[in-house]
Amino acid sequence: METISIYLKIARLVCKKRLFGLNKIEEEQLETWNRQLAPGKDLSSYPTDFSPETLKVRYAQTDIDQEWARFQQRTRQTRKIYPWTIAASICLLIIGGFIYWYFYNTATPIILAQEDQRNNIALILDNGQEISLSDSLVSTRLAPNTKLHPEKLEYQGESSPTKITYNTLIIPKGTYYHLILSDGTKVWLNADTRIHYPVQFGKLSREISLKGEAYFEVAKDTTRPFIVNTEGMKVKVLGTKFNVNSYQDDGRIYAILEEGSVEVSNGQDTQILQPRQIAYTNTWGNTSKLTVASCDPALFTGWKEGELRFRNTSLTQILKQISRCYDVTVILDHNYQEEYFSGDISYHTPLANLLQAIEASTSVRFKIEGHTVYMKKK
Amino acid sequence: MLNRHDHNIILQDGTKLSFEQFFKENFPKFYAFTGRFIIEAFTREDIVQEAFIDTWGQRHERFKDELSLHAYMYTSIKNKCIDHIRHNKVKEQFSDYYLQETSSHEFLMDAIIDEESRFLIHQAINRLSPQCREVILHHLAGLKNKEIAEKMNISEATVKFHKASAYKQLHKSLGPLLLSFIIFRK
Repeated sequence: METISIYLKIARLVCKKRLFGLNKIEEEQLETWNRQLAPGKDLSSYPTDFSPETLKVRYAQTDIDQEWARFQQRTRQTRKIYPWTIAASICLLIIGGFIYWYFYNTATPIILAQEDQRNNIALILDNGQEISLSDSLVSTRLAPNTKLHPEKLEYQGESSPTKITYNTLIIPKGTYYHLILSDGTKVWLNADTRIHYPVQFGKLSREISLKGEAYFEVAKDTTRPFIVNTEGMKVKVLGTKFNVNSYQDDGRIYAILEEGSVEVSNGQDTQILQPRQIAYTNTWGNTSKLTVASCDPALFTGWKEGELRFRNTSLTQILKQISRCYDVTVILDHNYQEEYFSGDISYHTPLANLLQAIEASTSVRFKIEGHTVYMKKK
Repeated sequence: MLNRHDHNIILQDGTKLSFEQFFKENFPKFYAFTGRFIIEAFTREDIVQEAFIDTWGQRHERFKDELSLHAYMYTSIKNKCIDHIRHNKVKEQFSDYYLQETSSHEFLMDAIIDEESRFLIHQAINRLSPQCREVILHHLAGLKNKEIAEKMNISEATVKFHKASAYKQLHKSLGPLLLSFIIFRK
């Protein structure tokens, strides 16, 4: 810490030297530190590049108000107590004590995520009729160009329809599914996802709506752009591979590009993505900047190979993902300080083993009862 | 029920510092700093968030001054980044060499001095009026007064005038930073 304080002081002198020179005392001080810490090096040669454009880009990559909102949310419990609130708290404590004495088992637990009411993959037809894909008679009720394979629904052939009709596919928690659209585009659908698409695409564009998470391998067609609409974000492409996530587990919607090029917009901002880039927009707070950054797509698309990949991921986010994969309700005994976990886990790992792995490197404990996971401090 | 009073830090010398201002002013700097260790944006944001939360958690220990608050943040971020690289060595395509390199004293010294001085220059310049800023930017690029005058289509006297006024403004914003430790040396 002491050494770092000296680095910071050096930086202040360097800054002044660059802007308008140092006086004699300052110059001497800088030389002394330079000799002590980095003999044979010229510390005042920093920083190497500070053209206004580079600096602007360098310091404009984050949404500050959004980050501050996140910070406030996470430090909410540690609020400062004022004298008058202490008096009020004592009164509350006495009253609270009585209440607790009466209903001592009612310390309100927090339900972080809930299991799904639905347990079948469902298809909603254009006429509003809902059918379950596990129904043995389902194929008789599908449109003629629709084919049902195990774990996959395929729409075949492209005859331009006179009227566009839509289907909606609902994937509940605890499962995933595949879809081939009428233009040959392949879609991987994650658990807890809803997708609304035309049975046959029209002549001008290929437009679908998504809620949840999906990975797309879009069939190339330069004349008809493929557009994915989700609440808060729109992704437009011609032919490429990308992932869209709109769960908002951590207050974010994002799109990740693996190959090709896509155009992402959130109503205010529009950005073109390069491969291995991510575009995200924050849905908490009231600023809605669209941020682009580089990323490792493998970390975000693991789900389609049946893998959960966590990198310094918050427990809150992990538990929401677990609820989705294993279709369970997650209940915390109280609000707790956030913890972080990294690891690769297969979807096929039994839930108990997965939770054990998390227990081993965090300070929490889990208990599974039927379809509910309870979390407590160790 | 969050109001401003909830986020004040009191330093050893008795100064009251708004943590909200400290957070908002410095988040971009610390975020840029993590870029020297890690590429992935979400991880970087989370690490900076965590470091701010740690620092906020330490506020009752009474930081000596604002400088030690920054030093604490840098140390915390560095440790978190190194931990992260260590955990994800294979996946992030970094070798042991990279880990050794980033945990060395020299790497850290270069990184901190470079980031901090760059950010201070950025901050100081941003506070200038547009005309002064342009003059100072040309000056930083190594241009002489005469060349600046030609470039901006103003007289040399005006350049000098802007420079003087820029120095005054810069002294105001940088002065207190330097004063605190130069004075004690005398």
